[in-house]
Amino acid sequence: MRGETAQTSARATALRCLRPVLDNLPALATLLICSFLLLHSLPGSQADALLTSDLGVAVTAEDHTRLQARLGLDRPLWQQFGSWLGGVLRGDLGYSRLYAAPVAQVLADTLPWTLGLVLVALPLSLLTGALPGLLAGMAPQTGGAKYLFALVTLLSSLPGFVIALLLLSLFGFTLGWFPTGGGISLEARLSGQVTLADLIYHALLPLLALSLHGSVRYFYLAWGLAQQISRRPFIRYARHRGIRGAGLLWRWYLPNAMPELLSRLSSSLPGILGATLFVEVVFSYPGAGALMLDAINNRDYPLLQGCLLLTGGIVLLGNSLLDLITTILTDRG
Amino acid sequence: MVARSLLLLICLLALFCWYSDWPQPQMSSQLLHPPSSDHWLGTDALGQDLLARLLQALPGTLATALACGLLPLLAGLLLASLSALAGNRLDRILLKLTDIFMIMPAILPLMILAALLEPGLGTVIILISILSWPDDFRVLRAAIRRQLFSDAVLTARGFGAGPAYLLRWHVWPVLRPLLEALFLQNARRSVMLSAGLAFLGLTDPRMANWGTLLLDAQQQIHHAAFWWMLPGPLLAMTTLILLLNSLSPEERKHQA
Amino acid sequence: MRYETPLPLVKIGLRLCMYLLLTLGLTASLARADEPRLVIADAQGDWGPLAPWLHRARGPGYVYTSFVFDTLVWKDTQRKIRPLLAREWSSDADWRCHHFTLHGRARWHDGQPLTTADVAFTFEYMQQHPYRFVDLSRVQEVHTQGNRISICLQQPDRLFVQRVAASLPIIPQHIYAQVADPARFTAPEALIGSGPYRVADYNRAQGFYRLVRNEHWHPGQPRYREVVITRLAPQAAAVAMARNEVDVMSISHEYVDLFRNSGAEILQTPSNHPYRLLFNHQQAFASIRLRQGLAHAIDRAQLIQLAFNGHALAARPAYRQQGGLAGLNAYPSDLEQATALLTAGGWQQDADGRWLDAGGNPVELRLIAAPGAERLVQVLARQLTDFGLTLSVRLLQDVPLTRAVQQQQFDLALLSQSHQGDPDRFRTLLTGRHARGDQYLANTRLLELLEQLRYQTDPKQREHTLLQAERLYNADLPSLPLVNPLNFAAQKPGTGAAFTPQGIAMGIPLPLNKLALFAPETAATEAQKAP
Repeated sequence: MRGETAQTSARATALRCLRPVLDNLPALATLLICSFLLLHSLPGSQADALLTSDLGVAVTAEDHTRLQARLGLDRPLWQQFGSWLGGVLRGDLGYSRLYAAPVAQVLADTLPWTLGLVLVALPLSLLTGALPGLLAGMAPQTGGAKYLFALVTLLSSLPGFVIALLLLSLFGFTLGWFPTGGGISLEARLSGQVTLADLIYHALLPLLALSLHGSVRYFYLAWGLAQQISRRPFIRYARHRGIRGAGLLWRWYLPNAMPELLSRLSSSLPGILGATLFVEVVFSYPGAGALMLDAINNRDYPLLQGCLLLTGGIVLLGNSLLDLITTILTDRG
Repeated sequence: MVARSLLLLICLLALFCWYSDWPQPQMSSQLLHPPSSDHWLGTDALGQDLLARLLQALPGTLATALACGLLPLLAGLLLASLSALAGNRLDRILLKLTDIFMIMPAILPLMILAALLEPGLGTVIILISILSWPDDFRVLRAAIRRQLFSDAVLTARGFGAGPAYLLRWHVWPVLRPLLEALFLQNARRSVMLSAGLAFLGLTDPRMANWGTLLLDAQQQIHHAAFWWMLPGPLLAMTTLILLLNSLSPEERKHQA
Repeated sequence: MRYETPLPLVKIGLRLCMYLLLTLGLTASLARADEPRLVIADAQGDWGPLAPWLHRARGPGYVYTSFVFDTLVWKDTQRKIRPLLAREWSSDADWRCHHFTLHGRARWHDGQPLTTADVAFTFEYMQQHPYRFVDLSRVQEVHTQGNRISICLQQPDRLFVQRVAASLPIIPQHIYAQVADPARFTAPEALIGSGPYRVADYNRAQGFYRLVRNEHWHPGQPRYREVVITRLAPQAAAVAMARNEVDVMSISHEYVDLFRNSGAEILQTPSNHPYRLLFNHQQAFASIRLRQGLAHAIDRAQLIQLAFNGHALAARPAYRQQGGLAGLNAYPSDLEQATALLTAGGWQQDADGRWLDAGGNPVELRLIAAPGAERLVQVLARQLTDFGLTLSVRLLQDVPLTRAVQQQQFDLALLSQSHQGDPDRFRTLLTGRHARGDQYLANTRLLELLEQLRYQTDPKQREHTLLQAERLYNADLPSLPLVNPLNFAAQKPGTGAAFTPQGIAMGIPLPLNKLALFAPETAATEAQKAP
């Protein structure tokens, strides 16, 4: 009997995790089709991008049409989309003429940097927002809590790139405590040996900017949750027993607030991805942000399609992963 | 109270700037000069007075906040009401549509569309509204559905009230605080999004925007000029957003 | 007891000193000839893989690729043509056939010898797969005989050696013979050339190249053991240069003071990529008087002062940027003259000072430009608006800008092209075939002169014809060159970077001429023969 229920619950969990993926697949497909149409309606084509140069030889209209034909841009749109989709299903994301490399390779080069930022910033923003929020919400009438609330309200009025700019100018340029840009230091590039310490050193300010920006919504959520939890009887009894401060926070408030907080985690994924774009631009971080801007400006369709596919895929997978973690944690109580 | 009068003051200032065409920053040869009695906030890389550029961007920013606060709200309200009343199929289609928008960070399609349209003020408003309505739609849909099962509505239904009557007298009035909160949230978000687009250099550079001022500040980050080019647009944006924040119903409850 | 003469001690002492001096001298010269590393900082960093069809389309891409692939001859920093793969060269009296003799010492990076077969193959392959930077359309046939190769053209071309032989990278036949699409050939073999350095490391995301010395480079051993090209923001590069971590960087005028204060040496050169104002001479600006009037309304000094902080020159209002203004109209800023000409062209000013066209409607001009020209556009737009014209400004990226120019969707366009290098570019820029050209075909005399220029070989005649053509262009004014920005570079003293007059190869205004940077001692003393 136990074995059966364990098996069925495993299958149920698996289904529950696959559900968001399956639900969102049609959305992803529509998105891809729409973006394909949109990209091809941009003025100018990839052939223009490849033939433009301030130094180069003059090009004729025949060169242009020949290049269009070579790139396959003169076929009807649905055919182009079909061949691209076929390639993707085979694992071939196409070839980026701009970067002279397969799209998969270009993305693989830049993806780890962006993913690194996003994956660390997500839980970090949760913690930096939820812990102070719970703490302040436990005693909302105190002066400290009020100051904290005002500070976070101020923070919420700053867009992500402004936070990044402030951090960069203060800690990077004025104080000089942190590097002013890049992913790894010059010495690391020259010697070819990348140390974890160096990576963290360069990623610290971008991560700080992202977490600060993302922590605001968790602060407000935790603040409200703490006040709700405070009204529950078992908290009153715990307080009577003399438990207060950090102990109260860790063992009583946090576990009760966690499910709600975690459920919000997946919905903040697109927001963090968007903020990462700006942060990468400000810190010249070698991620996918600059890649996408470049691809848009040079009409590199395969690269752009690859980027959009990847972003949508990350959100989908991220959602299902977070759902899985949430179910495991809530099942364990 | 203070917040409301301050906001009113700002709106009047914006109207004045709009109609009188007053702050026309002049290019001069005093490039990157620190704040002085002639130029209270200093000058930028083209010798233009920074305070004048700041004020020049005010009407546009307020217009963006107003329009992008209102338009997605109206669209969301209409569609949510329709979907709550018209039945399952329309509801499911609209839900699927909003799913597509939820899966993407808003900035990506904005970037692509900005490259397509090279937007000025009107186009930016339309773009941001298109990307904001799904959130409003979802929230309003849930609220309307809850409302449609409330006692008052069920009683009215029992008396034979039609859908239009129900919406007009029993649903929409109750939603007013929610609508206000959503309006302000949209307005705040649109100010930040339009500044972000300008910061990436994707909007018309002659369209005055605080994001462009921030971009100019970033380009001087190695120069002392950064420290007088940054505070102006920063404080302006923060103040506006905080004022909008303080108008929202929850905030007013806090202050009461 | 007599002391043994200190003579043996002195002798030993002297000998020791001699040895010491010798060693010092050797180490000094070795230190010069065998320095560990040259670090080039680059704001963009990633210019694509360093092979002819793979590198990005702008100047730095070509220059870095020239470190890996050699040409037949090469222009040094004194504009003299030096032997590189070819040890001597000559041209026939009628300038149709040109002959090169290879010195036979050159090897590819994989050890294979470089022969005339490779050179012949390069010409043939590049005619089938055009390489953007070199025009081989006029090559008719190529003969090889031992170490000698002769290239015959369809028409005489006096400048063939400078234009083509000094810019065409030679590719290995044994590698490229089987490659059908060179733009998709990204295997490591694509980067095998015969130049002073070969690519050991390339990281696209970081914008990082490590080039290792080619010990068997035929002119001699290159100066540095490694060359590193790395992406750095200018602010970070200034700090790094002060700490001796970075040797040279091309910078824009905004950072000149920053680098100077860090102790770097600043080099400058006119870029000869002037910004020119292209009029839509088929629609809004069909009348010459309107074009000339607008030219007089522009204050070039203010443009230079505000948009470039003084770091630019007023462009010569003709194709070439060198030479005086003899016979040319400089179009000085003169608002009265401008008003008179515009009125003569059919516009009138109303009471507010706004210009109205012939139909009485306010003149509304569409001005387009690339985002890099943003400040210039703002100052120019301000000047024209103050003069009474209504403008709508659009900043377009490369691709949409080219489209807009080709489809005439503008009234004024601010464009920047190279005005040095190939003199035939004047013709292609003016009369079409160039993506962002003037396409001005209204003046038949001008067209005749430019056609004649293609086939003239006598220098005095060419000069005379060119000057006449420039005068006609200047009078008709289909476009007006406004400002010629200065290019700057910062280097650690002693690095040896220098700008090449008229640009590297086909006119690239960068200070990274490989003969100057990597000069081994022997190359400096080799004799060279001019045709």
